[in-house]
Amino acid sequence: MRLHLRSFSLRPAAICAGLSFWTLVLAAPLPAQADLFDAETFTLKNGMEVVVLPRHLAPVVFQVVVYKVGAADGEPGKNGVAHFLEHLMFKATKKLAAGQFSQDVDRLGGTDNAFTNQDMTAYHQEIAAANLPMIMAAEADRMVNLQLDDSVVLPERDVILNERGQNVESNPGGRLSEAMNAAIYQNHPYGLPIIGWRHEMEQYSTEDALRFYRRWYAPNNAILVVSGDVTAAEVKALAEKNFGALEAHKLPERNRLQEPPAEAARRLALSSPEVEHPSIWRRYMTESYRTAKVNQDAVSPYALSLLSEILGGGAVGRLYRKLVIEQGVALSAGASFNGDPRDYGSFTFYASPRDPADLPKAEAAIDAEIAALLKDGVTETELSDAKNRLLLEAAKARDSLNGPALLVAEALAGGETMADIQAWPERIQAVTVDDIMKTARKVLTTENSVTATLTPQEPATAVAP
Amino acid sequence: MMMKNLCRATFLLFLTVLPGAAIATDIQRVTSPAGIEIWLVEDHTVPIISLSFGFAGGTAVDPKGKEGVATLASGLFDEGAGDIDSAAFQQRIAELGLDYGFNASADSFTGSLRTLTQNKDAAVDLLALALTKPRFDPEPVERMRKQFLIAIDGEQRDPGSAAYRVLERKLLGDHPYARSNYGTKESMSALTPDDLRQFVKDRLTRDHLYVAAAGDINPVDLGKLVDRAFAGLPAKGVAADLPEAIVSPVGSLSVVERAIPQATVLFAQPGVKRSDKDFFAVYLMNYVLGGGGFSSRLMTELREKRGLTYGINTDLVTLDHAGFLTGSFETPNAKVKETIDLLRAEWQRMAETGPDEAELDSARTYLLGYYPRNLTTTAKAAETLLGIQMDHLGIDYMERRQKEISAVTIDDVKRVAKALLKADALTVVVAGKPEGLVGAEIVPGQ
Repeated sequence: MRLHLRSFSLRPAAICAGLSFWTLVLAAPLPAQADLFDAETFTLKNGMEVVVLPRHLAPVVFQVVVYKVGAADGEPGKNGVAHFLEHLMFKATKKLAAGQFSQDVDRLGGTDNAFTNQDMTAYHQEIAAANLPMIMAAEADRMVNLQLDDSVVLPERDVILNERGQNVESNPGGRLSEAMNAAIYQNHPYGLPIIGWRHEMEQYSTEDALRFYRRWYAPNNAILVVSGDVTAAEVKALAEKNFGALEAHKLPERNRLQEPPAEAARRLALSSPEVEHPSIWRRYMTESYRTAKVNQDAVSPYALSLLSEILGGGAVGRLYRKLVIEQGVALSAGASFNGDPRDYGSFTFYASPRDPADLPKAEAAIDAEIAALLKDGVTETELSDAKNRLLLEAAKARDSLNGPALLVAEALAGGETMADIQAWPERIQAVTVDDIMKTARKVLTTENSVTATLTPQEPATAVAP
Repeated sequence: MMMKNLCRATFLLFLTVLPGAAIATDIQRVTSPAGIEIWLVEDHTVPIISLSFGFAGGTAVDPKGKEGVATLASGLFDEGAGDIDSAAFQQRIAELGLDYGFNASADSFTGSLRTLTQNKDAAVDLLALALTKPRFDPEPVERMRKQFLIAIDGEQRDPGSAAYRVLERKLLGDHPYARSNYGTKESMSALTPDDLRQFVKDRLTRDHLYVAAAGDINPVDLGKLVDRAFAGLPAKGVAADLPEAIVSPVGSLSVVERAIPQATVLFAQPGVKRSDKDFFAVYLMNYVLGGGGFSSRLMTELREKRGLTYGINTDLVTLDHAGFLTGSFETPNAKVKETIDLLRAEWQRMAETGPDEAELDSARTYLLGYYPRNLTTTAKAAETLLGIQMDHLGIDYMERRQKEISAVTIDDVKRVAKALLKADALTVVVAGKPEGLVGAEIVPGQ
């Protein structure tokens, strides 16, 4: 049995008003086949997309409304406004007092939350099925009726500043993660933190939040996904009643600065007394699911998903087997691929040495695995085992109320289609050893890499070359 | 199930056609060909089956000198069995895509298995092999022992955990419930593969077994599957008997001295067991007092009004042979006395006046509405069913629970609050350097 050691995550996670399981959900691959969970999709007259995923195991529903706007759509100097507005969406509307929606959900035994990432902002609730009319009415209400003034906005600004203090500034893993993103993205807004830089957050105004709200929050920029003990007919009637009358807006274009070619390997080191045990991350920029389609490299995200499974698949992946079990140099080691962002994906290796003094050894062991991969490739057996494991995980991910709903919402908001979701298993099946090696050789180059180390105690005095 | 019917009735108002998918929150009682009773929630929406199983008797019945054996064993059922060594066993779990794990708690040793329908036979064959022929090879045993010794070390260093060990001793005396699930450093270090084999022989037996299932399987196939998993276990083990614990009715105040700016304060007093006829009245009372998160009285008085703590909660602990009401909070050392005094005052106020109607109504609404959320995946549904079985609450429990909670009156809650809550019966343990506490006993935090 693998015990999980306390460690800092450097995943480019979404940030939330409260605790989030989103990162965990994203770690699972997309569900096997949309039609296997009887998904029904329709579009309201105002352009709002609706997806229903019936599941009748328990008399409970999960609702998510996702807006196709995130931190990377912010104005220069105001990237964090997307996340700031997410907090403010829990304030008063023309119909409900501040906090009333959350209190009602809680009182009825439900739970609600929200999150913002670089590309989208989502609001979700889980509650006994009989309360779906209430939560849908409240979600529609705050899409258009939010009431903001300085008296509610300014105190909430202190809340997000505290959030930044707690999650980033007093968390060495959070600080390193920010620095790593800034190093990877030299031009694209993914290099800026979702929550914003402190000196900019301190200047956010009520008008900033309202401008963002009016510009981006509209039914034609939103997707509603409902899963659970409900039928498509029921959801359709409720969606038309609650969202159907809201007016569509003309939406701004999502023009983001693009990355130049990577020319140099980058290296970061952070030492802090709060770090208990050292660790190392190595990250490479890749295509995302969406850009791979656009750039006619459609196979690469699927090849990278399989490569991450071959290298980093839990207790049977190459890295865990070699570094942890065989060589005993690491306490934990793995690899992961994130192809979900709209504009760029990333492939990450990590390891934590068994002996704190052995961080260089752990890095050398990762380098040796990458070199072995590029020299000797992967075997047909490794590939077919990895396909099998990914497809099994995808099938299991459907045994969840919120998981499939969030995955569908995220995939659609990220520019994929229901057809893409449906084709995921066959695209995974179609990947060849050759596809994996071509993609690996393209992605795993020195100049495309960013390496970051996190170590205890002494402050870093020099940055290694 | 009552909630199911309520929501159906509501939806019927604007409902046209129900979908073809099976609607199955009914619990079926299945008896396998070999005579094993299984509770099942059948649902064929996704091709997945979850099994939850438990053996009565947990860490509290670890033999004297072998404390920690159930916990160590819980880490070793995916580390090799029969002819399959640890690495090959992990490989097999990955190939089959299984979620598979074990857990040792005070009163039970439980496990779970989630598999795709297509792999169900291979999955339970692996489980059966692990339960009947575990290898306990030296490498995995030493690796897991090391992990648990690190955990024991962590328990001693962490102020909250150290205080909890003291609280259990003060509250439960030398009853086995007062021991750590990990045992002691000495007992964990001394455990041998033979001790683990003895544990399997004595405890993982049919007479201690409970099984629940949820998902894509019909009762007939489930009976066969469960026999494949468990029919090979020995029929009889060693009785997992424990004496009733005497929960200290006398209060005390102890300090585990630690040089930390923020003290952790734990408190407890006698409660009720799950079988008590007033259980739901106490449950509702606890929700109003401190179990209800941001809406509880203690949270309102200590956090919202006075900012003395970031959070305070209380919890009704129901073990097979003990029941107690416990809670915790953190506060700066200088505020410990003031906060404990306020805690006692709230305790007393609840004893004297009970909740008001609005508070009770909120508690009821929440606890009724929350419950179905325990059933949203096959794994959660199977685990919930297993818990109901092992607590001997009966197959009609879900429906009865909702009815009984609805039927509790304000007089019931006032009566139990008055009878149960005693501000001066609180056992309190502080880890930190609290200021101004009079009459506190300084105890070593080991």
